[in-house]
Amino acid sequence: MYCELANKLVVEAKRTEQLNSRNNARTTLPVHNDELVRDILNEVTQLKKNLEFFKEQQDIMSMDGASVDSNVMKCQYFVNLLCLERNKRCLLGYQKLRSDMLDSMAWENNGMDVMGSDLGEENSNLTHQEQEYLKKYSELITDMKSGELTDIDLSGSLTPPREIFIDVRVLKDAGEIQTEYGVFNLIKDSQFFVRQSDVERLIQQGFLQKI
Amino acid sequence: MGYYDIDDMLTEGSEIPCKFLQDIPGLGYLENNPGKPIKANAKLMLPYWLAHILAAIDNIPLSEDSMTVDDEEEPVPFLEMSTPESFSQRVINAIKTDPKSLDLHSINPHFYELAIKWCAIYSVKDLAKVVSELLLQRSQDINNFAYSMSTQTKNIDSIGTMSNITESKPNNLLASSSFLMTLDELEKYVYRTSHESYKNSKRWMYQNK
Amino acid sequence: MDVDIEDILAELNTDSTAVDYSGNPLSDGISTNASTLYNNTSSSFPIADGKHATPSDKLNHIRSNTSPSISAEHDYSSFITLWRNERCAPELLPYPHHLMTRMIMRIQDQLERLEIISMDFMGQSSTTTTTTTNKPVNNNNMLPLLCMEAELERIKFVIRSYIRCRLSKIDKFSLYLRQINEQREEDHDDQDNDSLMPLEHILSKDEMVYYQRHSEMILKLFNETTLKHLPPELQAINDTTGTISMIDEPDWNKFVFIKVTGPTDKSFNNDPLLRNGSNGKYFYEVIIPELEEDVELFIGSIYVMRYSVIKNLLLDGKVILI
Repeated sequence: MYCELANKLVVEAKRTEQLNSRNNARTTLPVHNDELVRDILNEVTQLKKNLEFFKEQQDIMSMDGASVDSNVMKCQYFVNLLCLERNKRCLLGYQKLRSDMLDSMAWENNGMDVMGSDLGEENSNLTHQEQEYLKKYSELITDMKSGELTDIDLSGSLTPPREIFIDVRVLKDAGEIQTEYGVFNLIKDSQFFVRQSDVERLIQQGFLQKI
Repeated sequence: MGYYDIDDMLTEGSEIPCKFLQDIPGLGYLENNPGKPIKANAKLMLPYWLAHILAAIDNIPLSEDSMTVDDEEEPVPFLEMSTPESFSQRVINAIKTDPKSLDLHSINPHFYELAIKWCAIYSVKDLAKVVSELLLQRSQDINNFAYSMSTQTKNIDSIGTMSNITESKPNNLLASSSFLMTLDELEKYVYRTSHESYKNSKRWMYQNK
Repeated sequence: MDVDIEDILAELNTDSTAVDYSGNPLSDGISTNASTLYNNTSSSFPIADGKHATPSDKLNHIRSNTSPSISAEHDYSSFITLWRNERCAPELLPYPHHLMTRMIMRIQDQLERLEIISMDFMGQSSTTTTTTTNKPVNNNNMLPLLCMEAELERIKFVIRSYIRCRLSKIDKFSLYLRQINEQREEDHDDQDNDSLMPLEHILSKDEMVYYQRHSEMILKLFNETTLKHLPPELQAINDTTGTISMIDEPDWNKFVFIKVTGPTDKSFNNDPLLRNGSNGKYFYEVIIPELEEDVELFIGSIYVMRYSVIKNLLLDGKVILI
């Protein structure tokens, strides 16, 4: 039966969706199921051939003026077409879910090039095209952040600010940072009282934790 | 509900018992009989996305250059769908006897969505009534669970001050997780949403003293 | 945002300590600074009035009389309304081009002002103690400064949240936006077709760029991974003829909470849609198609409705979403 593979892919997509709705931390993209997608694409090629074959047959039949079996022919053709449509939808659905997740990853990373950062091992979960996409989208975010909206810091926190100054604990050594209120040397396990907007980025990147 | 809706794709993957009304050559592969024709009256399970179209179309011209539609011919759909197991009398009875303890997830993880589609095609008012009543009944339980879970997780969220109202028992957690297993996807969504809003409203109330 | 400290404090009084503000030396500096802003409203605040009912206020009156500038306070509250509307509405609402320009301008002004003030402070404090180390808030005189900063952070947050909400809708409805834009262009000769707004009105310039570049990227990704393997007749991304339309439309039937505010200028008699009820209250009449029922929406009341029913009232600013 056609499209069973596509169903598998959607089930996998559903699982990915669930996993990511559960932990509200960073978006994590599971590995791209190359094999399954390739198998589905093979099926698509087969269906495509069938479709052409049916079309030819129809042409021959209509030339002969035979319309007796037209209905029956249509059915084969339709089943084929519907299978193709279904495969298309499932493939796109899978890809769309992944690209949406890439989008949120790009926002979480503040539009910085994710490739160059320490997310290296996660990148192996992406296909070549997805990497390309992520890179481009990150560039787009960077561009959006500059220009008229520079002061707004579009990729900043989406929780309403409560205090300007917060206590933070350093989770990973991050070296020295320079703020309006002086220089902080961020050594692991130390605590600081800093302006939230100054360290927003470091919190997002997991260097600091708000306490 | 949209083209890229994963849940909708899964719903459409639900299998429906079908009966072919015409002989159709070359479709034998649908019943694991590749190369052979499918005979009229052959019964088999087909996914909804395929079945509901084949049940709906009869004489639609293929493409603009294909043969004209025969008007004289009585339009007969390719196949006929019968009521899926999810909405069989057995299930309906079970719903009527005890809507709350039903394991809906094992019946069909996309029970409501399929029901909506099914009711829309065949305008089965009875089923629509049963199903909406079912959701109403069950959503009360879902709501209660969402509420009690939100009071339990309060400790974890360190909202404090109210922590002695409900002490969380591991039994409760166990019971609730098995309860959640019986929910269909739509109900899970309802649960998640109400749980989130209970949590948020709590946080809001206690943080503002 | 406007510099009015009273405004800021009023905003903050829910979560910051009450401050007896009169007589604070800083206010001097701020409100003189404020008078240079093109639309200051300090005259409407009693404390500022009492203390500095002087040239700066007269100047403000002259300014507001000569140029029809809109007060920062007014802009702020309309922006909050827009933000709320955007977050509750299923569709992408038109972009407030002018309002946003003013908001951004004020933020820039305020940022500059903050910098100047805090530089003064740094100068002062370095002579006394070294406040620049770990505890920056031990100086009482810094409080107004902190309030200003807090307020700025809040406004920045609201704008950020607003834009991000819009961007996510742009992503979600990119094909739909393309479709309505094409429709509009096709109907261009039709004079009476004003119902569809040009995309340039709905989106800001930046959003337009974002929309175009992002949909291009997605299309490229889909093409390379999936579409190019399909037969040509199935390669479209905006196919509406298949079993399921590929274009996701906003959910017009979504239920929303509304509050009826009436016409923006509060002149109830000039609004042709507004009716006067038997009890002397004004209301709008809407029809709920499914029930074939007329509903009277009284000004000042709150209702739950399908979005499609109140869409036009919302776009006219006669109801707000809550």
